[in-house]
Amino acid sequence: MSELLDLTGLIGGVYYGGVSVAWLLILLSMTGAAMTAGLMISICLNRYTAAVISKRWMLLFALAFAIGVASIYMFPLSVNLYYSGYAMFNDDVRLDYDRISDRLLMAPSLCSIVMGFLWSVGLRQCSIPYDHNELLQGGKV
Amino acid sequence: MTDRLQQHTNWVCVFFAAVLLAMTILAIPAGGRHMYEVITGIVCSLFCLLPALFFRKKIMRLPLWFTFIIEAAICMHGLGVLLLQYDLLVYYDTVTHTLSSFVITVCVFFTLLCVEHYGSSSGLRFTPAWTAMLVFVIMMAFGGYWEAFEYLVDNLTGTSMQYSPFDTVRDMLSNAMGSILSSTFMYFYLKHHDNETVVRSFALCSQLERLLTWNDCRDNSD
Repeated sequence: MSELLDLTGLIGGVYYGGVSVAWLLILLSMTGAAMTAGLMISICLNRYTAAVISKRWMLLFALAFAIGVASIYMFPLSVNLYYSGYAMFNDDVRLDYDRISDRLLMAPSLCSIVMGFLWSVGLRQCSIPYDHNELLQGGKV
Repeated sequence: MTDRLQQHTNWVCVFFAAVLLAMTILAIPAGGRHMYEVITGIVCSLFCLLPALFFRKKIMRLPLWFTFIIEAAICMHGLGVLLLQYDLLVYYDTVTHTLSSFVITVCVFFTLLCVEHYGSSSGLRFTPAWTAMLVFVIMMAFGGYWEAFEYLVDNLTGTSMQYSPFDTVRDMLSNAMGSILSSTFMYFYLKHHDNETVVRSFALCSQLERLLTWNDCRDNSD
């Protein structure tokens, strides 16, 4: 949805503190996707391995997974920023008073923390009526 | 753990604490040392005594090898500040970050082992592979939280905890390396050690046992 908004140009030119709002929305939605993927992984591990995990532990894994993915995303992002000419090293940053590179680099982590909290509340509410073995819904891997 | 081995553990703590305290005292008349360095030295030497204090107060017993790594991590940080190794040696910061990450990962690992042991009657069971994976993602998430915390503090108070994006990425890389090394090490450690034996060797105090059993009182399927 965020990609679509960005592609249609509706929010393509909107910036907040020098950071594209479309990119922030993409990061927020990606956190939701990563958390859901983390929950699916933990459900499969619970079902197909010897591990027995409660729904709370599944949710903890999903939350850590989403923020972990955002943290790992900082590595390719930093390479991208470096080759795009942003201030990356101590000496460069001293001359860059705006510190836009810091904001760009920390955007994935901050978005994942905010969205992770909201999404975990949502996932918790959604999973309450189901038994943790029912969450697989008879699916086969 | 035998009492003799625990005595060795206590002596390791006292030795590292004494080294740090001596370095702090020697650093004061050397001149050019700020209060921050002196306080860091004193606090680090006190932290070195924690495993011995835990044993004396019957809170828990830590294995000798783990105590040694904890002491080494604290001592390296203390000496880095006192002897200005962070400024003088290029990769000192990376080494200390990796070692600290290794220590924290092992702490998380042991905590999860205890949680699983005291929650086992409600059916909670972690396999070594699951525990290693969970610990790795938790450590990466901790790293993300920490860097976000530093960024927010810098923006709110005007400090410079985050020197540059390169410094942030280097810290995250050290964190990831320490977590991977530790998770791999603990995976093989658990393959060759029984969970129950490891948890029993900690000889946790009754308050900590109650705290861990609290999780067990809740419905596991929830």
